Amino acid sequence: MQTKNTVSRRTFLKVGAGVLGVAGLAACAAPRSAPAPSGSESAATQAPAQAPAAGKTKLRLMTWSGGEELELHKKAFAAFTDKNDIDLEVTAVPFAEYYTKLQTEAAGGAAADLINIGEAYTARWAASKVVLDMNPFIQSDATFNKDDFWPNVLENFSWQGGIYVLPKDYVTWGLFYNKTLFDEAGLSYPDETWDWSPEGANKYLEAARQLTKKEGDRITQYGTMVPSGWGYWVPRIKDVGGRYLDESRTKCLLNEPQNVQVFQWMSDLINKENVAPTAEAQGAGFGFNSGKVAMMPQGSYMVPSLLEAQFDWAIAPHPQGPKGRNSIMYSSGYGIYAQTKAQEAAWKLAVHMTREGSEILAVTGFSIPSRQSIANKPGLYLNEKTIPHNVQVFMDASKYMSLHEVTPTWTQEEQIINAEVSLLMNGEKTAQAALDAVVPQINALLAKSS
Amino acid sequence: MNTILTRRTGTAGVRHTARFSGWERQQEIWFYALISPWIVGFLMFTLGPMVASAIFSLTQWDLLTPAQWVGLANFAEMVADPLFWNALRVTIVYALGSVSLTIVVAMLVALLLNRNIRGQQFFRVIYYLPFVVSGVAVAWMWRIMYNPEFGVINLVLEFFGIQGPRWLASSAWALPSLIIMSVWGFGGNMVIFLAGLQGIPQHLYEAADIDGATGAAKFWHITLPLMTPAIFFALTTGLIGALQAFTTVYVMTSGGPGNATMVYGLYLYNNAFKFFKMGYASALAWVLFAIILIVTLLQFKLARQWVFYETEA
Repeated sequence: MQTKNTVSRRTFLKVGAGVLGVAGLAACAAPRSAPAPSGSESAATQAPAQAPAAGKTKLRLMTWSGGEELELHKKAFAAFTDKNDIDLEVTAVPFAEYYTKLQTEAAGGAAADLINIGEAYTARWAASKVVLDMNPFIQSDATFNKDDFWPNVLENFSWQGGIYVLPKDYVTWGLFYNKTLFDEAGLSYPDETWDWSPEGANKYLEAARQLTKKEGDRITQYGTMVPSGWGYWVPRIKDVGGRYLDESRTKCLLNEPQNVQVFQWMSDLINKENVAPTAEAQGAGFGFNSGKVAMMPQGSYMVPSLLEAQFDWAIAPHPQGPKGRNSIMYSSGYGIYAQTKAQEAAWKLAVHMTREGSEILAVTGFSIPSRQSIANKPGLYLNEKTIPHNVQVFMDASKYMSLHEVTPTWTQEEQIINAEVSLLMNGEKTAQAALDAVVPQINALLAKSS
Repeated sequence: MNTILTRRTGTAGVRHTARFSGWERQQEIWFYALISPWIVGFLMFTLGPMVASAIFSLTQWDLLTPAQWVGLANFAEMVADPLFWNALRVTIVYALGSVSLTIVVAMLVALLLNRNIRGQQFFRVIYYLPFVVSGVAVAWMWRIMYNPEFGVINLVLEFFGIQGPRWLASSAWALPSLIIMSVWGFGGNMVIFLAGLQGIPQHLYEAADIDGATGAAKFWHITLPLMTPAIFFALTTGLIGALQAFTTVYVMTSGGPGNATMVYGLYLYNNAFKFFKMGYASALAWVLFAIILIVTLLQFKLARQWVFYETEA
């Protein structure tokens, strides 16, 4: 989901669109607010929030959800549009290109009326005035009930006193495991007593070794997945008492000894222990969902795609590290485009997604609703379909989850880290060498931007 | 005879202007009216953005907040940016490798197809097809073929007892993998070479035969010299294209592992659309433009040394 190199026709349309966007900007200096010639056919497709003659309000919403996730969200939107006289158009863009698309649309003055935004990026879109401060809406809505949201969830989306995104849900991580494969190996299932450590014996590595199978010298089943993205390694370095940046967020700490040890361990699981598939093996079909890998540390958003799986599976808390247990927390919601002509309708849909909408998402185990009253509803997030898989783990993770320390240059930092981590994970570099190459680059970036 | 011709057209020309000036004006208006879609397109989508990007290259701009004038700072940053030099190196290696290999293969296949063999037309179509079928779908197919454990390339190598490399997953092999893959589109050059081969006058070979020349001698002294204009064309257009490589690299490796395949076009794209450094990306674009211009001018200059036009002889 996050490591896949998704490239579609859309990518290229988008590259084209981006280039044209710049071109359009450059060539026609006329402001977009200029009235479109009446009767022009193209005007209808350009203007995002034009009220057609029928009186139906038109809304456009942009999201990075795709596949089943998108269908799920469309169901949640439909619960709103069916009751209201609203014509909703959904633009879905893969996450890898999502903020690029948003940037070019916003630069062209034609972003969607409702924009899906994750907490890490709120400040950027608030500061550039792409999305509206929602406080006036919140204050004028007597039924809104701010206190119903989980502590801190609304704050994650605030910037300089304003609230710019209305969070619909949040996601935490756990350890998915394949019960069928554990049974075959005669092993007991993972539970909260499990531990992991970058050195010495631990239950997680032991199980991963026993769950790896060979036929001749070819591996036919792997013990675990090792995600290479930050959603995985950020909590792992916290597990050993490390952190990514120092308190002031001006210095990168990734090459400190305990962090280096964690990254080396991640690489060793793949290249030395051979209990986790390489990127190439993953490309050739070794994944948890195909039943060929016994364990997978991942976020709750994987649950819906597994509900129809051919094997029996469940979730355990991620094994505890030497200095505790941690999980990343992702949260997302909708911001209202500052130039929308349908503010009221956009606001209503955003609120809907914190209520009935989030219920529809929660039923599948996808994410936990941002409102406590909804998350705790009996039979909702915890229902007859999800309880057997122990999704309770994701709710319990609220005790040890945390946000990532994000700076304005995070996208570039991520690129620097991923380039070196790819050389670590394919076994060409040691963690020390890779992270020693990362740190000065990130420090230089942080120094320049502060 | 020449004089007569000149005088005739001359006279006709004079009479023509005198009697049909209104008609000619109309012609002129029609001319501009009919090419106006192109002119408008050129101004809006080529010249306009070019001028704009030249201005952006002197600013710091993220598309949303107002641009800041920074003068030549972007160009200074480039000199100190190791990733810029890396991108330049990767791109030059890719361009030289890809263009030379493609030309050699295209020439060999063209020579083979130039013989009078059965099913010649059929083979020409077969070899040309990959050139038409390209882009993302082909890149994905190659990605699968390059898979070290399950891809067809390493399976074939294994059959011959060779342990294949990890191709795209290895920083040493990723760039060579992309170069090898680029040869896939040799069909375009092949067609040009075939046309060139068929344009070589048969009597030159007949004369050489009478002198008792061997096949190799005929190739070196007749075929190759007369093919230099075609080779020059393939080299010039090929290098211009290869220096701007983007699509396949984006699909196959996204620049990795590490930055082993971070070609210039991709680095530029990342700066513009991932890091939103429009000013820096525009500066990168202009440096690439300058590089391509210099390389091309240099090629035209050097061409006088080695390109042979039959008509000049």
